[in-house]
Amino acid sequence: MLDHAALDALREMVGGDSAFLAELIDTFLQDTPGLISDMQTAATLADADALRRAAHTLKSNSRTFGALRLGDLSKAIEERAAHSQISDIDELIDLVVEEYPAVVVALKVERPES
Amino acid sequence: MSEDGINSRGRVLVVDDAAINLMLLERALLNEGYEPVLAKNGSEALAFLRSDFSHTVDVVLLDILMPILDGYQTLTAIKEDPALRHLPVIMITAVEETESAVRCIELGAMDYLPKPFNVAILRARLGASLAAKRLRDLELEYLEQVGKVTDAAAAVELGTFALNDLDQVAGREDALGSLARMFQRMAQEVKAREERLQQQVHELQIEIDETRQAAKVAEITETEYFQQLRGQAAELRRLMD
Repeated sequence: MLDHAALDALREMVGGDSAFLAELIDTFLQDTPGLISDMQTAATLADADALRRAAHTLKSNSRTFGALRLGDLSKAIEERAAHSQISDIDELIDLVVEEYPAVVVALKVERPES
Repeated sequence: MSEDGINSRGRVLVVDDAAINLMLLERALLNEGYEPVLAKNGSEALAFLRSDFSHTVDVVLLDILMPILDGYQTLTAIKEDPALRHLPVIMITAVEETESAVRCIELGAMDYLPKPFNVAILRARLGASLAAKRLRDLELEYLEQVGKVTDAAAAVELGTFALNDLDQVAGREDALGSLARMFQRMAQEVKAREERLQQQVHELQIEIDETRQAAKVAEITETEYFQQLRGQAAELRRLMD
């Protein structure tokens, strides 16, 4: 589910600080539902710029934690939004919604206990 | 974060709207010995760079896609500002955003940092940018001190040169320092020669005044009337004796 090379790079970035890694994972878990909600709202309003920004942030965050499939789905949404091709974007957003719970479970396994 | 950057390898302004990226880069920069300053968009970054603290920023890490003012606009504003254009900017880009990175480098960015971040790449990119910044700072300092020497030459012409005007430049150990020291010696010699000449002029003036005085005395003593008076005085002295 999660790419271990990405997680290793992340651990190196934080200098092996477990508490800080836990804080980062918590921030991701807190922020992601809001980003998904922003994408759904932007799709409803046909706001391609807002959709692109939310998808861009989710793509970046997902890849940071090695959630590659979530990152790829977000990237696909971002690219479609960048070209204003968002008429049937709901299908991709639904795939993000389906993918996210498995990422939550996998990240909770990786989250260092305080 | 320390305010004065003591013991810091350099101050790095990180501009990104994603909280996780800001947290991650802040921590990695601290671990690498840098002092991070954080901004959530280009507008905040420019406000900071144009404040009194602008001179303390050594490198900017700049995300591209941001609300309010994006990376392209921010980079353009930095490169159009004479006070900021020499600041090294490293763009934060996703791995597939090569075209964006190229466009930013064409706009004046020094390099790009791919996401997800890798600490070795971050270290290398920052090290290279910081070295370029330090070199540029030295060049600017050098040019400023060359300006001081040319100003000193103009001051010598105007007679307003003071020897200590060049003390800072003369303290350098390079060719410019030698030039400044030679300039100071020459200016000192010129000044001493000028003082000697002034002294000679002063002495000549006294001599001229004395000669004039003597001429005036002679003018009086050589008149017939003065000779008569002298004769009368001599006669009086003789009669009194």
